[in-house]
Amino acid sequence: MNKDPVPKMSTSKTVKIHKSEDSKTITDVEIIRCLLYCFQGVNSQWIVFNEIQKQFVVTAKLDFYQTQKVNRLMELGYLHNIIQEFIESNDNNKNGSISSGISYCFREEICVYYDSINKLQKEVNEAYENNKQYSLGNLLCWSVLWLGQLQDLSYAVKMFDGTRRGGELVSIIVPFAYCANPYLQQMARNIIKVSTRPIMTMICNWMIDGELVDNYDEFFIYQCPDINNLDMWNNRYTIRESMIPTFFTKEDVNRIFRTGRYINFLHTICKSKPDLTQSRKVLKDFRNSGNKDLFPMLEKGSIISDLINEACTESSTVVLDILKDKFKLFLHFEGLRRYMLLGQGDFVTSLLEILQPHLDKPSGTLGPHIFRQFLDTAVRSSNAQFDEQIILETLNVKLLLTSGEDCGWDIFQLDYSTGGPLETIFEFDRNGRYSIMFVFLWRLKRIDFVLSQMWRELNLLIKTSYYIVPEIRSVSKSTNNLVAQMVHTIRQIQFYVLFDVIETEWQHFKQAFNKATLLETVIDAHNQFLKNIFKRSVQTEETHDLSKKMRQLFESVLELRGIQERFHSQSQYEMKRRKDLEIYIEKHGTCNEIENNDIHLKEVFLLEVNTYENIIKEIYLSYKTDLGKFLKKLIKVSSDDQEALHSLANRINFNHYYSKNDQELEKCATYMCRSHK
Amino acid sequence: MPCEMITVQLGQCGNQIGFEFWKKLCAEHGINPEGVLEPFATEGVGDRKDVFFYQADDNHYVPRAVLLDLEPRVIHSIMSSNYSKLYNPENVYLSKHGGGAGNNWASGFAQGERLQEEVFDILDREAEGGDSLQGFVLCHSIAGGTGSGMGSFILEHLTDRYPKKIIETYSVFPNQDEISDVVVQPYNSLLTLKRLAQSADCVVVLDNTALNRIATDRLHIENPSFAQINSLVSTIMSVSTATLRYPSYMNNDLVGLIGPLIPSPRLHFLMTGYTPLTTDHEDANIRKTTVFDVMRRLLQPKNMMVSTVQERSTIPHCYLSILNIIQGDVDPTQVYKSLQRIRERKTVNFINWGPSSIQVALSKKSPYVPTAHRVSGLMLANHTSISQLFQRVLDQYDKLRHREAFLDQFRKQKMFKDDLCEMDDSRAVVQNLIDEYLAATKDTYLQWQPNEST
Repeated sequence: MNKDPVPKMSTSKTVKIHKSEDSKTITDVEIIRCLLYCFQGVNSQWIVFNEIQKQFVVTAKLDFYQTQKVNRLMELGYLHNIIQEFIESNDNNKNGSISSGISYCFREEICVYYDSINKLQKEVNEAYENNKQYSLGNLLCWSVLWLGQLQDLSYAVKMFDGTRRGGELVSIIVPFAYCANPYLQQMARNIIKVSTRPIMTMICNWMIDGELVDNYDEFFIYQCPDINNLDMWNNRYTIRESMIPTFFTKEDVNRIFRTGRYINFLHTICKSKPDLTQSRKVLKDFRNSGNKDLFPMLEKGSIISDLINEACTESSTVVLDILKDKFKLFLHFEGLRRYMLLGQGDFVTSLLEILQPHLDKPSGTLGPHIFRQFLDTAVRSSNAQFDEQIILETLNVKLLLTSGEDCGWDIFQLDYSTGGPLETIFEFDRNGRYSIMFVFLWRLKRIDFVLSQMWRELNLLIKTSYYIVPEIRSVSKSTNNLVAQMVHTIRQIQFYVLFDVIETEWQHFKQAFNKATLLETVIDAHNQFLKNIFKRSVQTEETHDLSKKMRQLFESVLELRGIQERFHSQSQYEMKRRKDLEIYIEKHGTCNEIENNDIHLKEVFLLEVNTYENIIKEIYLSYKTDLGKFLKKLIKVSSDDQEALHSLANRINFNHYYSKNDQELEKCATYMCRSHK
Repeated sequence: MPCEMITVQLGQCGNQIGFEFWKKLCAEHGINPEGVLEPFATEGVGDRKDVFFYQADDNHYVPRAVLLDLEPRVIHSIMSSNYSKLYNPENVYLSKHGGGAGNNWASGFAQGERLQEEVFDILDREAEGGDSLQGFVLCHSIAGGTGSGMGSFILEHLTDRYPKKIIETYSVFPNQDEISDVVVQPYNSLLTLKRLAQSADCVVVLDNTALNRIATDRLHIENPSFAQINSLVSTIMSVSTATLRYPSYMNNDLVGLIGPLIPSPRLHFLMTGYTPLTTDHEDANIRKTTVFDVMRRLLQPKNMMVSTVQERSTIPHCYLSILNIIQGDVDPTQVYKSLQRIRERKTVNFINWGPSSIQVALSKKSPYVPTAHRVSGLMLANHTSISQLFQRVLDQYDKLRHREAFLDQFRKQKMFKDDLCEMDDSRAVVQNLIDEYLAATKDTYLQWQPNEST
């Protein structure tokens, strides 16, 4: 098994023999005596260890045959020293408990080796006492077994490299356990048993108490320094791949890691110490017995692997149950859906109504405390007031830092930070995904709200000034038509995003949640939920272009609103002027001056109307172009997994109004339709 | 609270359908006839009771309803029913002379004018009571005297007093299939229609002709009673307000709900359709209803609660907009699939001067009112064929007017004392409305200008 010839080569090269001055060779007996010392790393008359050269040297003169044999035999001493050095520098936990264990085993091996030398010595002595021959040749025969043995041990020492630690060391030993040499195999197995006891203890501590007791920095789970409790779940602990004994499967490691993390999470974050689960009780018995090792894991399907698996499953369930029951996990998911994803529609409408006058102002004028009051008002004036107290307590307002030039809309956000265990695991707040989604949905709702206002004002204008200010009829109609088109688009986008995307994905998530027994299932389902709503409502990097086009549509609504609002008040003013004038004339009669002034003012107003009409036309044209681009992009981007985007295009262009005069749009819509079937 | 609504029920018909409506709302929200929450409903199911009710100091629920009539019969029957304690007695107004409006619009209108102070006192008080009133819901008939005449007066003045509030009406159109004992019905209808066209923001047309036909043809009731017809009406009213009362992502306020239905302000008359139709007596042995079934059936004329003839018309009547409010056990993914199937069949005609589609609002259903159907749907549609209804009013008016029949009763009132130009004016308004609806069937609608000869 010793494939690396380096140790052997180096010994044979470095062992040199000094010729003695009197050039008289010494006998086998003399050199054998010296060799017996050399085997144990001890200096003798003719063989001494040269500290500088780190090798044994023969100080006597040997003949050619003796030289060959002695050189070969001195290797044992050399190897012994390597091993002995390792033993001495690693015992008593000097380099950790695992190397100490290995050191212990090596010492045992060396002791056997010493025994063998003792026996040999007796044999040699007896032979000489009985005047029998005992040659270097005999010694060579004896050495064969030990040379192999010590070469392997010292090879291992070389591999240990003096720097490797913990599981790495075990991994080096593992291949020996599978070698054909039964002696070596037995030894390796023994080493594994002894040296993995500390690992077993660490695993037990980790899985039972969630504690890392790793005094010698040997465990494959590592605690990163300076990680606060909020980052505990994702960042405090890592797996050091190199430290994992090679006979662990990925699943084993993963499950050990997760189990400990669950327990640690329960103890440190949830401040909860539920009873030990069945499999962790068994692990505790293991730990208490003090002599359990990981050797069984060399075989597939070992009892330890099974235990790890069970413990992991059980702990995951325990954590999930605690998060559900004690920390109201689902309630908070509902809270996030209702407030960050705007599921509580009446609350959103109410909040928009309350906030609008304030958010239109520059952001610098707004204080955070006042927003908290607005939020409370919105809660009280909607069904949110009946929501669970715990949800309402979590709901808050967040104002982004402002450059002073932003308007209130740019800096206002709702905030739903659960903090505590849920935040640790799900990172609702720090991950920022809910916040991003909120900004998008809030903008969508604001646009919808603005459109409602315009619709309302236009209706009112037509009701009240239709006969008094007939000049505005035509422009009201074109504004109204533009508003109606915008309402249509924004409605469809809303329905698509809120029902087709969020509600549908929410239902999937809810199902997955209700079925889930493991925390991981919930985490994965939640991630999938967010990923899907981002992707399908085009809020990902890849769909940046599309969301930009959507924003352009939003912008044109706001642009129209600015213009329309001004025109609305001008019209109101003109209507009032005419009404007042009528009343005045009825009371006081009229005169040329009044009539002329009236004519003049009417002309001025008509000019305003014309300017306004032109602006409306411009906005309409650019809106229609933008919408066309948006629809085409929607159809182009929609692929098999994004077929839904195509559905949005179909919703907006349901009666083919937009493709009627746009052959390109009609063509790509038809084409995509077919290719999807 | 945003989206608070005040219901004003006027006249016999208005009070009858209003009564049914409140009964239905009480049942749906788990409120007993005395305004007290039923024990099973104290938890709440995400429903908003305060859209239509307010809570008195002792926490019992009081309808935001104003009951007005000029003759006592219906209101008395309401106040002697077991729901008598539900209403705020201060909101029940009966004209002291109690003689009614004699089925005469002009009399109703004149009495409205005379009683306006008292009536608007009630309305103002009620409006001030709410935190944020969104609008008024008016329930009335256009054919009688009080609902039409007094209703017209109130309509005209609500806009002046509450310019920012939405005015929605549930207006009952008379049954054309039976000979009415109200001989001046065409006059009444025409004069009311003018106000509906000019002062209301949204009119949900409840056509008695169609309702009776549905009751006889579809529900197989030989001589449908008022109660049976009114049960249909109250279903329409309650479902059409369901998204306000069971808030979800969208359609939680009245403007949001009706705005998209009314792309052109004057074309604000909505027809309704409902499916599946059953009465209390009929077992629901209909096959499993799907979203697609519901949406498909809603597009069938036979389910429409307005008696217009679309098939035989030479005019290419079309939808300006459609909103389907679907209740029940609905998978949102089914909605788009159904829409797509309908779109591909190309059987639904939409306007071609603007975008239009079938909007869908998914709404919760009251858990307290058992229904036999998994999915049910109400369609609110803005369809140009509604103009046929107005044309019918106009034709009947013209016939009567041509003969100068029954005009004396009108001439007795101040408004018609000197001349009948109010009638001519109303006729012009209704004619314009019809013209605009017809114009909306063509793609030149945006260039269309009303004929303003009057």
